[in-house]
Amino acid sequence: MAKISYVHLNGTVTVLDVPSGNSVMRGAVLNGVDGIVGQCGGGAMCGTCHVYVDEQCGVQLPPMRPVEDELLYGTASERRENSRLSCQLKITENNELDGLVVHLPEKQL
Amino acid sequence: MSMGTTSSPTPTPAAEETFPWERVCPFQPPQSYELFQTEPIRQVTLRDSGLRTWLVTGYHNIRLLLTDPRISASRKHANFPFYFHAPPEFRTETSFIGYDEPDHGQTRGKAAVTFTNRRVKMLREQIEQITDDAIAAMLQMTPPVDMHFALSLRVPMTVICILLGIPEDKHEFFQENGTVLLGGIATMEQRQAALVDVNEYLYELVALKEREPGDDLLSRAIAEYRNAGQSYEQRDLVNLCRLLMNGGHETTASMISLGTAALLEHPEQLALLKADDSLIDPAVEELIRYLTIGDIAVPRVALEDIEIGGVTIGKGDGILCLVLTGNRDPEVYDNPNDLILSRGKRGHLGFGHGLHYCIGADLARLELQIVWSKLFKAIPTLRLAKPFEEMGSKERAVIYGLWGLPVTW
Repeated sequence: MAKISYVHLNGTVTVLDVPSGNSVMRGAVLNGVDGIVGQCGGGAMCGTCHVYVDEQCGVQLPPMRPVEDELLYGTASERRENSRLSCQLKITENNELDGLVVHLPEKQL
Repeated sequence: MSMGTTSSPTPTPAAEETFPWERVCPFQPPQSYELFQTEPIRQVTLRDSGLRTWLVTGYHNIRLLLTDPRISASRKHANFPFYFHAPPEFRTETSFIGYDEPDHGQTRGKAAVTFTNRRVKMLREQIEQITDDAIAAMLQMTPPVDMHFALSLRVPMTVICILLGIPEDKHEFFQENGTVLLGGIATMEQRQAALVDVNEYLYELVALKEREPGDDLLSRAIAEYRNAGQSYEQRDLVNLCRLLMNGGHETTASMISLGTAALLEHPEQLALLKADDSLIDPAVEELIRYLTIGDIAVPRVALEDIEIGGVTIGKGDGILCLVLTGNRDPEVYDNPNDLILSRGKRGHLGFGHGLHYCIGADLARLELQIVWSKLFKAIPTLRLAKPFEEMGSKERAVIYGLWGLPVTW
């Protein structure tokens, strides 16, 4: 279980305990967090679960696979240095993502 | 009347009728879909296979089910909902469309990078040139011309062949066999023969790419297997190639022809599109939603009992997610049966949903945007060469569409 904070555009924050085995995307979708679509269900195919990772939160992220890098060039909101696809951020038994803070982009589609 | 159209004005009660049901009008769902208003998840008997299967309808039900890890896309399950006489090879010789994780991700990953939005955008100029050439060639012909063959099939076929590294002289061969493999009227023997012919060529092609790699998807997939130290069988690549080939041309071609007919039959919408270039992106999304040519192309099997919408789909049961019902869901779309180009946006179920979301979605979008941007400018007087009601439609085919699109100008 990892505590993940989703920061909405208006500054409000949704904090969720996301069980291991789920991704940051799936945690949001299952709990009705607006701002993450996840159209392909986590297959790293659609680029609609784009988030900006808060660099102040100090959480170490898994490396980016080439397909994620490719997809981030086609997201609806601009790609920034801290852009990631939240479907590729998986909560593991070791809880490396605990305390992660992600900012939701303006649009996903 | 062309083959394939046997629409009946008074359908028999759906309970006695085997599924798939026919669309009375190609722009509207089969009349019996009205039954889903009171019973959105129900069982039916499938045509040819005689299997009982679940029909799951509605935007939210379908999205929920297609991201549920308890469903399988594998064709190997006894109850996999085939609605035609499927040869045994259709169960075994599939590619990632019929795989579950982890095989699905591993195989799909070999092709995925080629179809990302960024890579697809790089193809724009090439697709524009292919489209210009096809339209110019069509204009050299004496109308009426069957646009389905002169343009609709030609553009996506040329593009997918370039991506896969297939020479131009094989386009017609794949076009003909694709129609047999995905069409609604082929017999099992015809499907089997088409599969043998296509595979024979693809084995040669894979061997060629192994010997002489080029700048194409197939060569890159081989290199990826080798670089990762993974073993592969030629068969894996043949099946991957055939999937991308069939998925890459028949679908988009159907959208071009049926979409063009829809625009011509909705002149007020077409006028808006002609007057405003910026309408093309939403127009493409709306046409994909409105027509949903893959309505019956999302089959699954339940791996465990799944409770959804008040019913329990039993372990091992077959499921068809009728994505047209999701795309016409009145809870999601106001006046869902109307074509309103300006409201189009992504988020519809026209490319499916979940892990098997169409790998070629962005490529298809770009092809459709380019074709419709150019077609009505190049031929402003384009019109159907016979009444739309007389066009033959591919009823019960895996990919819905028209058998042809005779046009004049």
